[in-house]
Amino acid sequence: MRASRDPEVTSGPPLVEMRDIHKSFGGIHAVEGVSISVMAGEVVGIVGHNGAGKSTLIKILSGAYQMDDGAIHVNGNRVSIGNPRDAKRHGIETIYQDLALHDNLDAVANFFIGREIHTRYGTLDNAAMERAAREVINRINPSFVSLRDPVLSLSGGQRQSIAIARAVYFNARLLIMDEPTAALGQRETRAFKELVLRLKSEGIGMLVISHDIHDVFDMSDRITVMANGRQVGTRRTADVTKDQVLGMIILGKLPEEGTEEDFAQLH
Amino acid sequence: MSSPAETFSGPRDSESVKSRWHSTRAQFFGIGAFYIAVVVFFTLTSDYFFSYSNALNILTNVTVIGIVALGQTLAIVSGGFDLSVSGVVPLGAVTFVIFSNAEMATPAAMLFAMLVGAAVGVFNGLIVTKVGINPLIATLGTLSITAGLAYALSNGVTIPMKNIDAGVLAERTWGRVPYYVVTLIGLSLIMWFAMRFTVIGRRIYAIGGNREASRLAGLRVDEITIAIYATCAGLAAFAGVVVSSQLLAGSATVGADAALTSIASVILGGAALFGGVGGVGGTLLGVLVLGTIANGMALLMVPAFYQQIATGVILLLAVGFGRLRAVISG
Repeated sequence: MRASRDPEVTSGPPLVEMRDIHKSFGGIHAVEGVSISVMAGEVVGIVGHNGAGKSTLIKILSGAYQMDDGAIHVNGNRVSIGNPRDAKRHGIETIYQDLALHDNLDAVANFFIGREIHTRYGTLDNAAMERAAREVINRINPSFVSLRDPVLSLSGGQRQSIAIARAVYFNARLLIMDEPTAALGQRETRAFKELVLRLKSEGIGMLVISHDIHDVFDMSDRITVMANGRQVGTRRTADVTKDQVLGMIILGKLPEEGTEEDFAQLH
Repeated sequence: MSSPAETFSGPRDSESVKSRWHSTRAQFFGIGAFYIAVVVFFTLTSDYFFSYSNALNILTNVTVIGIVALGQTLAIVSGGFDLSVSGVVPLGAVTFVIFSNAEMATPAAMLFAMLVGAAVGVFNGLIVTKVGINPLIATLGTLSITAGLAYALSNGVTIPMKNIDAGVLAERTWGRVPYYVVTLIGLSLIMWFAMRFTVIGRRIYAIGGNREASRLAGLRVDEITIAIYATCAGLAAFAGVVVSSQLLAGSATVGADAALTSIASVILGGAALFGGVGGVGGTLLGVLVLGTIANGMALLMVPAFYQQIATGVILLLAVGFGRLRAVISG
């Protein structure tokens, strides 16, 4: 897997590496021996059916779940991630599918929740927070204006801008994105893909879960396919076709493992 | 595989939330207008209503429920409820007099009564967060326990206060305003400031708005929730101290209406039942509305049980109008 990284990426340990991760809920193995790595400036897509274990895997990395077995390395050093605070401390930020925003609060409050800028008396420094949030949000999404309205009045794209801007501002080195394009219109999806390229050029690694195989092909450098909690395989996007990836998702087999009969079923 | 249009399933099902938010804000101004109408109505119908001394009457009558409602505001804004205040008010009232009669200095007796209340609140918070019991059920349980405890500690009789000076909160006045009214104003200012301008206040709104997102943002949701219930019950116990100061005795029969009236006040003041919206200003307005109507009806010599009916009707109307506005504005 290491050999397959992009030639332009500088050598060295991966930004984040998950090794042989296991997680069960009751008797169900949600994730069984999955290993995955992301280099700086690399986008890795994770695809698979519902219940394939994608969400469980990223929730382990973002600190929402505890793994039963396995290891997580950040820049080559083994780390322990016991809660979301630990993950953030290692530069791992997560953009959840529902964006995990507080609908009753405005963009600025959402931006800084849990990491508020305050005066030495413990009071909120609203002016400083608004300045910082405006600068970063406008960089992410120049059309964003309503920083002071409750975020539930915003569009899906604007809401996403807040979540991404927040992650970038707090020095995310790895962005985990769960179905980032699901709530976006076509224009917003295009803008999002451009944003991914910009973030890549800044050296930010991204782990993207998506149902939409076209989006995954557009954005990712490598694709990991999961089925029934296991890793079917990981391939460089340039080395596979969409049909081959679909086959991996549906059959749970690598392209070279499947028989012609198997692939005939797909069409 | 599905196209983006088919997978569109994001967080945009929030139209009802949106109208809810606007309606609660409108409700705050609505209740303000309603309060003015109430004042005008009683001014026209009663010769005794519009006077300084009656204004003072209203204030002294709403202080106990006002203190409870401040704590209830915290509980409701954070997405919870505290029914146990109906048991903690009498528990605070009885323990304060017991401590005082045991020759404890008055400030210490007050503090210990509040600590008893806060301990009940910590228990509430623990069963809500760690055991995961719904706040309504959890605090209904502790309501029963604490109310029973107040009766047990007082043997079901009213305990007279041996040291009359312990009633300082009611005995001393600032001008003609009793100390306890000044205390309510002070507590309100502190709470208003904390909720509007401090980090912890912001986080309380965040937890009420989206508990799971707060956890993911790294907030110590459980600890904050426990602290909120502790504060709420501590304030309820202090309200019990005020009742005992007024009566110069500790009785387990006081404060039974505290839960219902405090929740009604907070909701009347524009707070959202499901958390995340509300505030000290609205709550105090809600407290004043209910207190003023009770006062005006008493002046008009309407029997007391009709006040209870009126409170219920007003609450349903206020919430119903908010709902209606939400439906109309789509």
